[in-house]
Amino acid sequence: MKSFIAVALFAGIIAMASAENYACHTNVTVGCTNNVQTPVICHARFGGIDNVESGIQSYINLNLHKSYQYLLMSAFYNSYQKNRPGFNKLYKSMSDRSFDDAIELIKHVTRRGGQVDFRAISQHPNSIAQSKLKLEEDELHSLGIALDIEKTLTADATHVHYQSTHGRPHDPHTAHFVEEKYLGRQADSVRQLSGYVNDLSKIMNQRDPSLGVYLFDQYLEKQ
Amino acid sequence: MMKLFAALLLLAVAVNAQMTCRLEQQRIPTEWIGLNDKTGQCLEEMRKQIQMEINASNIYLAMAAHFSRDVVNRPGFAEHFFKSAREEREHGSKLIEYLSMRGQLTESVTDLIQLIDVDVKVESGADALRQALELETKVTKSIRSLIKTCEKSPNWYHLVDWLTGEFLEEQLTGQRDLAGKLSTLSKMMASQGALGEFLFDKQL
Ligand SMILES: [Fe+2]
Repeated sequence: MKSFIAVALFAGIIAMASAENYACHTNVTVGCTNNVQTPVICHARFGGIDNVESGIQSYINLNLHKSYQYLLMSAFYNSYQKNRPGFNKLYKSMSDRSFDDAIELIKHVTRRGGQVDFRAISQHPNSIAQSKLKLEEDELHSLGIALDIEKTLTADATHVHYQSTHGRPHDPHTAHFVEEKYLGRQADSVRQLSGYVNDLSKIMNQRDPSLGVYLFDQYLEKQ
Repeated sequence: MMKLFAALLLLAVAVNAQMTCRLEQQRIPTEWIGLNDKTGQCLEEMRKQIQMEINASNIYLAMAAHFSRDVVNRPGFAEHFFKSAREEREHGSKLIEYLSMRGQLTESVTDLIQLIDVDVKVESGADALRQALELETKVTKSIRSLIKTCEKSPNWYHLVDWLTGEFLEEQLTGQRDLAGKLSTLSKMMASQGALGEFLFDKQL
């Protein structure tokens, strides 16, 4: 009797695991027998895409906003008055990275049958207009802004990861993608910037740190 | 008296050890920048042009996202528009670098770029190419009028040359490329639209 129950249970598990949804096949069958004019549409959505789609959209918008904020910060340090090639290079590379991230995320969500649009991108709470951020800052303040930006980006990535592991159903594919592409790298980036801020604030802890800031910029340029 | 002296000394040390965040602004001559009332209009339009390039980048990004969708499934078009989005961002970035080279952007950079809402409706691959061609034509017109404004001031002769030689050049070859693609695609789709677009996408 016991073994019978075990077998029945096992069979049940197998049946659950392989329970199939014939939505696409049904679509095709209906489309072909009714001789409809519009083509049959099947989609790629599976797993927890419903739970992560809006979070990824928000993360994409954030990356685009931050990419342009970094671009403007790098431009500011490229002016003849600032003339800090190290800071210019640091912020430009972070701007490029965030732009690349936005594109990677668009590819991820559409790979999963999702969609992306920019119909409300200006409303994002982290846009320059909404956050009333002023980017014309001196070296130390700008590093502080950059650290804050990196933490905001990390929080958004973590949020998408949370949605993918805590929503029902889970979305392990998105969780893996976020872990592999963003979480480790963001931790490195946050750590690097906090180190920069702390180093520079020690260097600036004196009456005239002009030469110190110059040397720090030279150091950044060589990174 | 001694105590007061010690306190003063301590204060002096404390002040000495205070963080100095804002380095003193050094006075650099500005005559070389050659800025006057006449050059201001050109600058204003340069800033607008930067925003226009960024807007174009976002429109192309939205188009690329559209063609990436499973129900649309045009990877060739998607890659094409991702590439265009990168190029437009690069154009904006180049214009910014030019302004830095000319002694600008020492202040007020924050309001240089805003991300505005983009609502792209694309019906087909051909429709997207048509919209892209329209957009590029608009950008070309804008660069021409920018050139017209800037050539009024001798200070911007170099900018005019650069815009004409580099930007217009890219606009013109880009427009020709889009028009050619649209022409080929339209011919491929003449009698078998779906198959024509499918094949065109794969060789994009
Ligand atoms: Fe452009």
